[in-house]
Amino acid sequence: MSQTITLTVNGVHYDLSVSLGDTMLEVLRRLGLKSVKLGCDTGDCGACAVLIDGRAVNACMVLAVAAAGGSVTTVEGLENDGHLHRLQEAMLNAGGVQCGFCTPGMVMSALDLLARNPHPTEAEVREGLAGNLCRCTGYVKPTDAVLAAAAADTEVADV
Amino acid sequence: MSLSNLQSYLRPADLSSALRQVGDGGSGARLMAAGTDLVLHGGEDVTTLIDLDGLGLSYIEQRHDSIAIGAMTTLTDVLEDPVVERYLGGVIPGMMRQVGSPLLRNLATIGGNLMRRHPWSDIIPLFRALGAEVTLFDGELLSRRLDDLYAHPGHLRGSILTEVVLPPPPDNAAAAFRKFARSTVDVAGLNCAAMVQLDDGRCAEVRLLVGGTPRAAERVCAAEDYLVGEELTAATIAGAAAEAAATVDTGDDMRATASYRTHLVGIGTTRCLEEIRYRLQEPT
Repeated sequence: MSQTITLTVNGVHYDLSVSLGDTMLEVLRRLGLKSVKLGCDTGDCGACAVLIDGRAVNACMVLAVAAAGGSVTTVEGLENDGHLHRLQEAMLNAGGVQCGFCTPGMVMSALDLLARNPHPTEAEVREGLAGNLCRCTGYVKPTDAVLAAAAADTEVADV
Repeated sequence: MSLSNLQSYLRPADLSSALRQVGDGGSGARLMAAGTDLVLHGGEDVTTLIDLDGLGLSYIEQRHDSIAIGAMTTLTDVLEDPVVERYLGGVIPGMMRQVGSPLLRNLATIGGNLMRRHPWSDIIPLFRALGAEVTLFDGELLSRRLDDLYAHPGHLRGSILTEVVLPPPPDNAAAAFRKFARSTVDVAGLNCAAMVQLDDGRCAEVRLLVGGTPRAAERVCAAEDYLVGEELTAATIAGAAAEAAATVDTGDDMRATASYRTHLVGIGTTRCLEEIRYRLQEPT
């Protein structure tokens, strides 16, 4: 059974035919947004994290029909005139990216954190990234990156 | 895809419509809060979803000294609410930070957690320790103590949970929560929650619950009875912890053995009660 829904994804309006059981993860990847990673598909790893109406959530746990009418932001939506978002730059500068699989989800969690808490402590950053599993970095450099982005740019939260 | 046999997704405009749609949907109908469990574990027998979003059930209101939390309020909103933060020394956000990750808490709702009744729920033992009540809609709104709801789960059938209400915090009382898990985002291998009210320096009311045993949280009456009438001291806390470890029925599963859980019952009880003793000694 399918249904047509409207979604705004990275500022672009879509009318989409989706199956009732489709998750947001499946719908976004069909749109070609491959930053939204299919990791565990059980809400544990955070690799599919996106912003829905400004809040970071696991896209694999959201039914697309339940988010109809909403606004979705993925990492692809952060680019501005060919430039990376400052948080992405901070991840690169701090060495917070290794294999890169977890990085988009981690960036989305960090954006949500900084939007609500522009100057987090290290403990708050670690808590904010707790839902994003990474097997490469040991979390130290991504944490450093979020702290550096927060310190460097008070406008970082403006997606 | 877990919900591969879904035939109908409905967004009722009011509680009566939602209740009617559940009835019309038959055995394949499910009420949906955030749907985090349904998406993962719904299965092929789910044919109709009735989404409770849009019924105005996301709110936190102070009503005199009580706090009413709408069933569709996310765990993040509960965690960050300043009124909830002030309730009994911030015990609720302290617990809520230990529930999953921010990515889960941004979706999951308080009502969904209470109705799913997972045995490892961190929210259920603490809210029961706090003496919370819930409001159900079965055509009319009615209040029930959370304790009674789980003692008689038949009350849940044919009802929609609309809100949970925290009673006015008792004078001279404190509460605490402890969770034991393999990682910060894992569910509890065991959890403990306690609330103690003193009267003239002695325990007048004690509510102690242990959950994830791996069965659902239950009150530990032997330890509660042991403490009532006693001062809260290192010795009586040790006695209560021994009573709890001796009486709580634990079992094995993938997260812990029964013997380890029994050990944790004593540890968790001690830590909760020690924190409560500390809080009750703090100048107000």
